[in-house]
Amino acid sequence: MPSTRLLPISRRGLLALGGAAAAASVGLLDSTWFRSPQRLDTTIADETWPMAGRDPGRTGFVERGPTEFVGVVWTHELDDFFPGIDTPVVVDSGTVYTATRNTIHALDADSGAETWQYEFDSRSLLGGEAQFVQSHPVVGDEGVYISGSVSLFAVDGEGESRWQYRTSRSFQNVLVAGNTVYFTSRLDDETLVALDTESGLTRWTDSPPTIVPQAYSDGVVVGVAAGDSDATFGAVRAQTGRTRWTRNLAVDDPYWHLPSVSDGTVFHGTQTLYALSLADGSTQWKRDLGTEDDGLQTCVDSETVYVVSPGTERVFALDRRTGETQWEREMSGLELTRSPVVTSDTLYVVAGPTVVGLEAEGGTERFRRRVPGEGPDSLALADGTLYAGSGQRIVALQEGER
Amino acid sequence: MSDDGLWNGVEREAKTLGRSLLVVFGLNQAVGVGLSLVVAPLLVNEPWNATTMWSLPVTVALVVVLELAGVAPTVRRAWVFGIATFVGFLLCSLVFGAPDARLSGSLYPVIRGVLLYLVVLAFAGLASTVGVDDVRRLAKTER
Repeated sequence: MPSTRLLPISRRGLLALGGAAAAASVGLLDSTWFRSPQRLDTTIADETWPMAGRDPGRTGFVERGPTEFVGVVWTHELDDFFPGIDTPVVVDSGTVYTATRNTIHALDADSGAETWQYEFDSRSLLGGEAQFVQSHPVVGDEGVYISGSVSLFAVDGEGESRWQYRTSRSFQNVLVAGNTVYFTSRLDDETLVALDTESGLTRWTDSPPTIVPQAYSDGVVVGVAAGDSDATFGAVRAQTGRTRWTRNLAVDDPYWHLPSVSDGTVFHGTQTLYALSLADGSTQWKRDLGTEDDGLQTCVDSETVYVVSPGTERVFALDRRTGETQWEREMSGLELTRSPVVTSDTLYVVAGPTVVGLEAEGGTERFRRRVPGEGPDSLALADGTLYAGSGQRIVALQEGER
Repeated sequence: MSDDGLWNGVEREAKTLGRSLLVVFGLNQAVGVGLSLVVAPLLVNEPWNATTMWSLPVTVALVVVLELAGVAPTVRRAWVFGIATFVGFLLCSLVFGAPDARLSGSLYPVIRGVLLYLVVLAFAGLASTVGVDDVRRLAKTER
C-alpha cells in the first residue's frame, strides 16, 4: 500500500525549516524594540515625595507643608526594622512606602493602614535564602525600585514583581531620573549601569565606573567617585555614561551625604560645603561649616541653600549664588536626616526626638513637635502632610492636629 | 504463583524501571537547557538555582507523560537528543552570544530564550534522527 503523507515535507525537513526560522528570528531580534527611548525630563508631581530629597536633584523642596499646631495624624508600627542607618519613607499617589529588613511596605497615606507587602525572601522547600534590603525605595513611573541583596528589583504599584537585575555585589545607591535607573555595582567588573525602568534592559554601562550615582540634573549625573582614581567626586553624561568632569574634594561617606543640584550648581560637602558648576565642576564658592565626623546635609530653594551641621549644632541659610550667610541659628541635638525638607516658607530639621519648623526667612522657630518612636531619621513631605521614619514607626504629621 | 514467576516479574519491572531511568537521565539535559532558557528569565525574586533544582522532577514527569501517551523513546535516542541539546545550546551561545542571565521578568529575554530553545530543539531533533545508515550514506557520498 502506498504511504500517504500529511505534509509535503519530511520530518527532518520540517525540523530544519523550523530551526532555521527560529535562528533567523534570534538573529533579527533587537533589544531596542523592547526598550523605551530615554526621557531626561524629571518633573515630579506636586503631591509626591518619591525619593530621598524629593527629586533627582535632591533639592528637598516642595511648595507647602504644615507650619503651626502640628500634630500626629497616624502612627504605623512596623514589625521589623531597616538594617541600614535610618528608616526610609517616600510617598507617591496616596501611598507611603518604607522598607524593613527584607520587605517593602506600602501604607495608605490617609490612614497609615498597610495595603501590601513585598517580601524579598526566596526561601522554599527546595532552598533559596533571604535577601536583605540594601537601599531606600525609589518610586518611578512604573512602580518601586529597590536594591535587595545583589539585585535591583522593580515592583509595580500593586506589590507584584516586574523585573530583577542581578549583579555580583550589594549596592546602596539607586538613582531614578526620568525613565532610567542608575546604580554602580559589580557585574564582571565594577560597573556604572543605566537601565530602562520599563523593561529593565541596559541603556549603557561604564566600566570602570567614574562615580556612584547620587543626584541628577540637566542631563548630568553626579556622585562620589568610584574605583581607584584620585578624584573624590565627579559627573557623567546621563545619556552615555561618559565622564564630564571629576574633582578631588574633601568628602567622604558616599551613602549618607547626598549632594543637592539646582539651577546648574552642585552643593556637596562633609566639612567644607562646596558649590560646584554642574557644567565643568569648577568651584563657585566654598564655606567651612561642619566638623569632620558629623558632615553636612543640604536642601535648596530658588534663592537659598540650607545647611544642617550637627557637628557645630547650627543651621545655616546661605545665598546660593555667593555663599554669603543670610541667617544662622544655633540648635542643640541636630541630627542628619536623609531628607531635609524646605517649603516656600518653612525649613524642617530634626533635633533629637523632635521635628522643628523654622521660618525659611530668618530662621525663627515656628513649631517643635516630638515624634513618636526613636526620633525621626528620614522625612518626606507630600500633600501638606509631613511623614517621618522613626525607628520602627512611620508617623504622619499635619497642621491642626493635636 | 511460583518463585520463578515472581522473580521474572520483579526482573521485568526492574528492567522497565532501569530503562525509564536511563531515558530520564538522557532527556534531563534537554529539560535543563529549556528551563534555563525559557523559565529562568521569567522568575523574579526566586532562588537563583530554582530552574536547576526543578530539572530532574520535570524530566521524570515528562517521561511519565510520554510513557502514558505510548511514546516510549529508546535509551539511545533519549541520550542522543539530550547530548545534542547541550551541544546545540553551546553552539547557539557561540553564534548568538550567551544569554544575559542578569535580567529576568522582562519580555525580551523570555522571547529570545523561547526562540533559542526552538533552535536547540530543532538541532537536537535532527541529530537524534540521524542513524548509522545516514552516516554510511554520507561517507559514500564523500568518497
